[in-house]
Amino acid sequence: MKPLETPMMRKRRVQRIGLYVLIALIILEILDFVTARLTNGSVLLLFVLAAINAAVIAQYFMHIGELFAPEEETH
Amino acid sequence: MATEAIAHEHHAAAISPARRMAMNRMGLWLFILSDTFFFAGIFAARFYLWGATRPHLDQVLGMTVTIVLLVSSYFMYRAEMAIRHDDRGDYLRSILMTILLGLGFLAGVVGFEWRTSPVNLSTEGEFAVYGSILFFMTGMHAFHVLTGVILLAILAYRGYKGHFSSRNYWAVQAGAIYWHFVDVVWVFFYPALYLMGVAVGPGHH
Repeated sequence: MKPLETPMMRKRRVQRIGLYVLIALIILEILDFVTARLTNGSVLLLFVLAAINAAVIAQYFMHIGELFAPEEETH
Repeated sequence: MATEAIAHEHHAAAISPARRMAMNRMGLWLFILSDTFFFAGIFAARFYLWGATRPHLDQVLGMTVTIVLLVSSYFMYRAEMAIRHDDRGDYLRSILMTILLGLGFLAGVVGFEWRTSPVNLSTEGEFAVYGSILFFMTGMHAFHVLTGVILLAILAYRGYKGHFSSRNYWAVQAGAIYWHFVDVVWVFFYPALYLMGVAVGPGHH
C-alpha cells in the first residue's frame, strides 16, 4: 500500500522536479555554447536549441498547460 | 445609471472564483503575448541589421549571466511551490534569492557588459549598428528584469505580511510567470547576441 503524501513531502517532490528542470536548462545552455563553437554559430541549430529551452520553461515553470485545463482543476 | 451599476455588480458576483481565475490567467497570457511581439520585433531587427554576423562579445560573461537568470527562475518556481503549500519561510527565502540573482544579472549586463563591450552607442562607421542593436536588446530586456525585481520585492513584502497562502497565491503565480517570461526572452537573446553568426568588428580576435 502506497504511504500517504503529506503537503511538505509533496512540496519537496515538486521542488525537486524544478531542480531537475534547472539542470536540464543549464545543460541545454552549455550545449548552445558548444554548438556555436563547433558550427561557427549556426543560426538554425542555435535557434532550435533556444526554442527547446523556451518550451521547457513554458511547460514546467510557467505552467502553460493550466491555461487549457478545465476551470475546476485550476486555482 | 444606478440600476446599470447594480446589474454590473450582480454580474461580477455571479462569476465563480474558478471562472475569475481562468479569466485572470488568460489576461496575463495575452499581456505576455503582446510583449512577445515587441521582443520578436527587436529580434527581427537584429537579423535584418546584423545578418549572420555578431560583435566580439565576451561569450563566457554571456553564458554566466544566462545561467544566473536560469537559476533565478528555479528559485521563483521554488517560491511559488512553497506558498502553494503554505510554507511562508521557504517562500520568503526563495523569493529573496530570486531578487538577488535578478540584481546579479543586471550587474552582469549593465555593470560589466555595457562597460567592456567593444561596440557601444558612440561606435561610428559601419559598426555603429552593432552598438545600437546590442544596447537596445540588452537595455529593453534589462528594463523588464528591473520591473520584475520591483514586482518581486512587492510580492516578498506582501508575503512577509501574510497576504498569500495555498488558497490565495494568484499574485505570486502571475509574478512568477512574468519572471519566467523574461527568462524565455533572454534564452533567445543570448545566442542572438553572443553566439549566432561570425564575429566581426572591433574586439579580440
